[in-house]
Amino acid sequence: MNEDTKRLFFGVEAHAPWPEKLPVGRLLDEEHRHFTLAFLGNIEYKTLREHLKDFPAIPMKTGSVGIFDSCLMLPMRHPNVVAWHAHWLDSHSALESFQKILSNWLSEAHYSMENREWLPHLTVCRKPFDPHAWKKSFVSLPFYTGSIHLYESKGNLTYTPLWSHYIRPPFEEIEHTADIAFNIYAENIQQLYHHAFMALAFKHLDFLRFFIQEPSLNTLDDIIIVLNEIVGRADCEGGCPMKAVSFHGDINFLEDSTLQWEMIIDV
Amino acid sequence: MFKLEKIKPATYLLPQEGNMRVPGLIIANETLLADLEIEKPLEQVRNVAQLPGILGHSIAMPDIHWGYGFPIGGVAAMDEETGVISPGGVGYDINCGVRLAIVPVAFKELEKSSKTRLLEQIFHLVPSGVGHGHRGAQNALSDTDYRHIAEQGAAWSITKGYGFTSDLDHIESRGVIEGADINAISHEAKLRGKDQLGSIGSGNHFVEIGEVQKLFLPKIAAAWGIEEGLTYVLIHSGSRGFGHQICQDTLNSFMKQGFATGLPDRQLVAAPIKSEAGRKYFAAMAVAANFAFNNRQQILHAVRKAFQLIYKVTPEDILLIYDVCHNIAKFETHVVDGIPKRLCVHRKGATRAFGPEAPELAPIFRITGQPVLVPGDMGRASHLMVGLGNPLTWCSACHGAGRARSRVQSMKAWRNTDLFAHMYGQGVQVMASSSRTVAEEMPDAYKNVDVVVEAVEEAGLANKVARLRPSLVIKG
Repeated sequence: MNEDTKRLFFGVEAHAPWPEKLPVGRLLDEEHRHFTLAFLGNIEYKTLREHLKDFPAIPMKTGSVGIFDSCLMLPMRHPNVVAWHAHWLDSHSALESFQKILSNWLSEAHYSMENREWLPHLTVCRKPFDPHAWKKSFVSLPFYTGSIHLYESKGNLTYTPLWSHYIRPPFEEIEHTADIAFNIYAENIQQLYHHAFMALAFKHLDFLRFFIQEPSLNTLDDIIIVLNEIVGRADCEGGCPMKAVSFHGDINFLEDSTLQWEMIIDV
Repeated sequence: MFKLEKIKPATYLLPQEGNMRVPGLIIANETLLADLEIEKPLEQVRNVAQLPGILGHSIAMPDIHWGYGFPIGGVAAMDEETGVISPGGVGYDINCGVRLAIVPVAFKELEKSSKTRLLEQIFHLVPSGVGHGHRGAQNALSDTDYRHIAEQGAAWSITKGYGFTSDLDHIESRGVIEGADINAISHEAKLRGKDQLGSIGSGNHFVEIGEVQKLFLPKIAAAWGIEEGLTYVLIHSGSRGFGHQICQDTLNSFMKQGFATGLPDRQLVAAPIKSEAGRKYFAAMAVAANFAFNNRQQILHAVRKAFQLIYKVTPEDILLIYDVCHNIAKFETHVVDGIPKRLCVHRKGATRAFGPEAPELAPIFRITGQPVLVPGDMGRASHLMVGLGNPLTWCSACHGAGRARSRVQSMKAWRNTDLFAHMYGQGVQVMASSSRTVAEEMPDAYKNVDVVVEAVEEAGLANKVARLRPSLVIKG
């Protein structure tokens, strides 16, 4: 094999409030967990690096948010990995669209691509594992995606980014004199609601049960009212460490026209 | 940068400028003012000064820190006729407050091993932590219960066997805010509160037991039944999810009605006191306040029960010293320009501090002034003070130490530490539903309460009566 040949794939970082305890298996370290967008296999890195100059434009300004909604053993017939299936919160996932764009671009550049529908999933563990234990222990988890990387698989569940494209996270916790505070980033008001909701779900997983689909949202105050309705329901049914989202802040426009809102929460 | 002008000991003026209707008044000393986090709360003091009908000053106590609209540690009195009432001036946790009781046993006489059993017993009897209440249909509040709570306040719990009639003289406003109307409460609020009476919740709420470490005013302490070395119980909780929902319902309604228009901060949203919306909020707030009085009454009952079980102390012998609200709006009569006037006094993270002869007080406190309870942090101290009825602050004082670090900062600072072992090493045994809460509430997350009460005393708002040293703590 050529010295420059590497085992490569494009992937996107995954962030979640990872469970502290997981069943036995060869677990991927938290910092290595990702969604594979396009698997390239063993190829010459030098050639690909030349192509990267023409890397397709990335349509999203922030990472995507979603829920790991089920536990899969893949491949179905003879599983050798445990994976969590991703359900996107946005009905039209920009990341799914980008995966198609990326796949087409790679095909056009004569890289061999799998000719099947992309199954968004996160590999969390490799053989040997106990499928029953993994299925039984599974709980839905919120997640968001981060930057896109060209990863080299170094073996032994270690992946090193060789090239990266920064994507702003959908939310980030910030230090504030208030109890809890986040900066929320989005491209539109519906997404701002989704991202704010997920920020709260990262703090309190049970929140996921109370998601309100597609409420009517025209202003920031509408978002705050809906989020507080969810907080109220969550507090009523099982308790919620957050008591209210404050009517605080405005929607600001960043240089790249991304929307930004400082969300603060009373505990 | 704000230019503060020192006008009296520990008292600074924030000059009136721009749209401010009154100047700001900051109670603090140099140590507290050196705090770099003071800028944002001072901006909030300035915003509050712009509210219609505000009289005197927009006031900040020495434990001031950033809050929702109003700073925490803020006091604002509004003219009943022309002023507004603001949920942000009360806070989400309506009638969050503190009560202090004294156990007639020297703390040092309590056996070490039984102290742990006491702590466990209280932990068992008083639900704490996120969403923890008294689950089960037999404890759920009915509509009739809610109506009685609204009408009777803490007396309702006493009729149900939680405490004694004599307790009422030792509760601010005898444990009932008049004007409560259960019809002003949403179904959602009732659902949130239905099994939460007698539980402390999470956040900074607690039950704390320790020793009366030092007396500063022995005569007043003696009049109240307090001696050096005795065991004290301090309870900090509020109206739980019930109050939060009432605040939220009101905020949503006020926002939709456009009451935030023209205000420097939407969180200050406020309705005219005399408007239908303003009256409805007060009626709902009063229900939540009365719920909170009941909550603390029932928690104290559980603590009394625990002392009876572990130490055979008769419940009646555990004296309630006082119960104060520190998130409330109340109608009070104060002298303005020489004329008595009815005002709506918002105290958010501030405590009423009536002095001697205040007509509302029970006879014992009419002689001494009212007790002012100032919880500090779970490691250093809490303080018992006596109000001086200072008209400059509408007879108000501080409510605690005030945060020095945000919750996130505190969490980060104490990551990877065995918090319980650390506190035990400091002589404080802690039990909690969540170690996260303990991390957020570690002593250094707060200002030094000794410095805060010094400023209050120096400014002439209240005098120190006793320093209380915590030893057994239950957190949410």
